[in-house]
Amino acid sequence: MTDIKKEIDVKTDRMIVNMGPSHPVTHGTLHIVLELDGEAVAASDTKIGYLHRGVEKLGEYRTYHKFIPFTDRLNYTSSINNNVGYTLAVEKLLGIQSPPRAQVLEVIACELGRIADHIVCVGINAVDIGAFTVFLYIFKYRELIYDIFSRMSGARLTTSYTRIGGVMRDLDDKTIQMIRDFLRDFPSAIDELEALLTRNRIFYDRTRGIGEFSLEDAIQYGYTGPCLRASGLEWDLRKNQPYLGYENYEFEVPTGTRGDVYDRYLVRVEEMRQSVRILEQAIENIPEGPVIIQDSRIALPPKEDVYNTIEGLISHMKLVMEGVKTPVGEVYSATEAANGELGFYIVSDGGSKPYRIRVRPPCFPIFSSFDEQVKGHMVADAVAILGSLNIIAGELDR
Amino acid sequence: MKQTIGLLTKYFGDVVEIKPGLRDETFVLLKDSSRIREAMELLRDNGFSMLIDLTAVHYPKREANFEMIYNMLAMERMLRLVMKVPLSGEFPEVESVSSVFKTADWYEREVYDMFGVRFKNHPNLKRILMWESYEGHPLRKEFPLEGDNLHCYD
Repeated sequence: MTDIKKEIDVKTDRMIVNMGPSHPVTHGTLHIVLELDGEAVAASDTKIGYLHRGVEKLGEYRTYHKFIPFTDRLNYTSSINNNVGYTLAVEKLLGIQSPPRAQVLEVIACELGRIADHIVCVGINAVDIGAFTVFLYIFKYRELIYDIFSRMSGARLTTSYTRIGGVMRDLDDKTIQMIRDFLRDFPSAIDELEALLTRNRIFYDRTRGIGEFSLEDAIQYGYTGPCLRASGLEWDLRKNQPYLGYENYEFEVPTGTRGDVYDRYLVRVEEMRQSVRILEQAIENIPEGPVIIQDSRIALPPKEDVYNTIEGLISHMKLVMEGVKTPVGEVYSATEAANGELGFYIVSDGGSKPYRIRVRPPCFPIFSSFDEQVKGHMVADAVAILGSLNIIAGELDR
Repeated sequence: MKQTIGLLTKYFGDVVEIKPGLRDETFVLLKDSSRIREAMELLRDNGFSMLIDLTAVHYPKREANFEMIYNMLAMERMLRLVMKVPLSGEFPEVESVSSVFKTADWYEREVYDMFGVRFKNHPNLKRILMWESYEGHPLRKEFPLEGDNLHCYD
């Protein structure tokens, strides 16, 4: 018996293990250097930037409209939320609001995007831990959401759905019916998901107490979104700083208690249910009216005017060639994207291009805490933690 | 917000200047960059518990050619405050606030990487998005959009 104790005291060499930049669990190109003591992580060093494309620099050379496609490529699992976040920032700079119908359509788009993002996060997190079935069950519904997106905007992933002052296209009856069908079927899919995971002993053991993060630490590290709520704070910009008329919808903000991987999973699952609730209210109460602001200095005039009137033609040309004129000043606008607070800080010098555009990505501060979270856990737990933080490299590196 | 502004003017006097924003923001200009850490501590202890964002803007035509932007959030009172600190010089230096907010660590590395602003007392001031041996700071205005020719494939 004494021999065993002796063995535990034996000094071991530390081993360096590279996770990534190209590794199945990194979901994008992240590079994590783990220093292992046996199977436990003694230290880790995260290296990011492999997907850096200079989005902020590119934005300085393009008109406000032309930046919308770049926002698709930030968090590419819920690109529609980024579109909405960006156009809200420009609308704030211009001091305008999109028409009521467009706002409801944006809410619908945002909530569908949030569900799609959470499906990816929860599904992939389960796959990484070893529960492959969940992924297959739930990804069917992500496809349905992408079919809806494809009818709304013409693209599945790179939606570019919003415009400054509204959205690009109205919803047709077939799409509304598709959303209704989705809302009818999806709650039972969440039940199936929960039946597979929530009380699954293996999943519970792999996730409970892993990556536990206290609320103080979470605030210190600038956590927002599901990860902050899992740590126990009821904080959601849709409630605390409502935009797009979110104050008119009934929904609850789920919170966790311990801030570990399991809590983050539970929060995301409950958020999907709450998103379904918001969608049910929104889809029944879409007001009539235009979907984009009726101002030819900001939004493109209707095609009939462009082809038949000289004013329409001129304003179309001026908008395409010169872009929107903005007041001098700086604005910060934040929305609750699927990962947390997605902010856009725009510095305008009065021209039609931003002087500086800053994207505040939600997962950048979250990922900076990874080294601290992973310390002392097993290598396999590092994978679980990484999945639960929902790091999207496109948004992290910009 | 009035309370916070009163507190800032009480502790910093003429060094701070309150500027109303274009919409609903409150901008606070801190003219003395050496007191940024003190200001951050004061704000943190008075409700502004989260540093939402930290970035910089390059103004090559101005005398103070860089402006640091500290975007603060008071969660209980739902207030946002943007603190701006002008800096001047080719490679200006400012005190790191990573001891006040842990999240500032990476943000400051990004500002160092993209703008070339140095941070005093930063625990690990390395490039974060570009690679270590890279020269130049991409978000400076004089940096060409197509990149420099040094790193082109030939």
